[in-house]
Amino acid sequence: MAVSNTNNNNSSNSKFILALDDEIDIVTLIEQSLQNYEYSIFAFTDPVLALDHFNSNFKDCSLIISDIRMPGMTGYDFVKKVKRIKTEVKVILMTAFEINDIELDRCLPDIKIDFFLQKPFSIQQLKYMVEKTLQLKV
Amino acid sequence: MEQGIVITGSRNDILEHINQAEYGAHYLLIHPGLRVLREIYSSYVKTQLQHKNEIVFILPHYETADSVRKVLSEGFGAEPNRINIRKYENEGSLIIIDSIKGHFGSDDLTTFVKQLVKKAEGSGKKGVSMFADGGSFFHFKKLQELVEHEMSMPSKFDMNLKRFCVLDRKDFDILEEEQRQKLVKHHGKGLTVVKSE
Repeated sequence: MAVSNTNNNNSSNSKFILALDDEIDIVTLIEQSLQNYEYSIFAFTDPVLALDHFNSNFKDCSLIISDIRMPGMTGYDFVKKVKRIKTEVKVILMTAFEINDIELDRCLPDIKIDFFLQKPFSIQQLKYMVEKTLQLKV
Repeated sequence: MEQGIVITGSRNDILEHINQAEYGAHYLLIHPGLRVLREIYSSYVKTQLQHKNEIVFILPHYETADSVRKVLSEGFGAEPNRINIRKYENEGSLIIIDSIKGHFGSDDLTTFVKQLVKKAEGSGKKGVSMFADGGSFFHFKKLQELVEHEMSMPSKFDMNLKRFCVLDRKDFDILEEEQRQKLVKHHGKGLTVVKSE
């Protein structure tokens, strides 16, 4: 399910952020929080729809924020697929579970994740991480 | 013995089948998402703990053990079912372990469940109800292992255990048709919750 698209005209950046989480409450929180900071956001609960959207609009996507454990497609697989389309897209993976380095190396070898966001997180933490990630050089 | 019966219905229809399950039941529960699953288990778990004198064992995958605790303690859905989590966990009637740890951890899950049933019988409980989310097999792409794991268990247990193998519809649809058929046929019942509009 595609939650919504918030494309603020007064955004200082014409590029958008794609947010993906199977829990609608979380993806809505991310969407509304970043919308308040004038980011352009496309929010999804379904990885397949998110991937379709990314595939059609990847040129304008600057950042992916994705959950890891999702039915149908894990966040790892989602990131692998978007990186195949656009290597330089920045990625924040979020999870409520412990981040296991062994699992990470096995699931995402050779793929760069810019940041991990531990749930639950505050709006300030989210904003800070998005700002930091977007400032990173490719 | 009849097995492989497929029942498709609303959340309430399926909850009714789960509530009526008898000891030995090994059912497959396919649901359309976490919200519906939470509504089902929060209702069922409350009944089993408060009125059926059972031990309940939950292995969640798409939410943390703490999230399950929150759902149970605060209630969920239109009819909140609040449970005193601390009391039941302290007395050992409620056990929540992450599905990855449960299925792929160092302890053998089958042995643990057998011990749990014995513990239930020895402590005056009627038996054990178990919700095991198979999402961890999809997480590690061990789909054939999931089928083999299920096939290694009987379609009907000869102990006081009701096991509900939980799969999200999106995960179930990833399986090959033959794997889906095997799973459905092997379980006593395949319960599919349709998404309500």
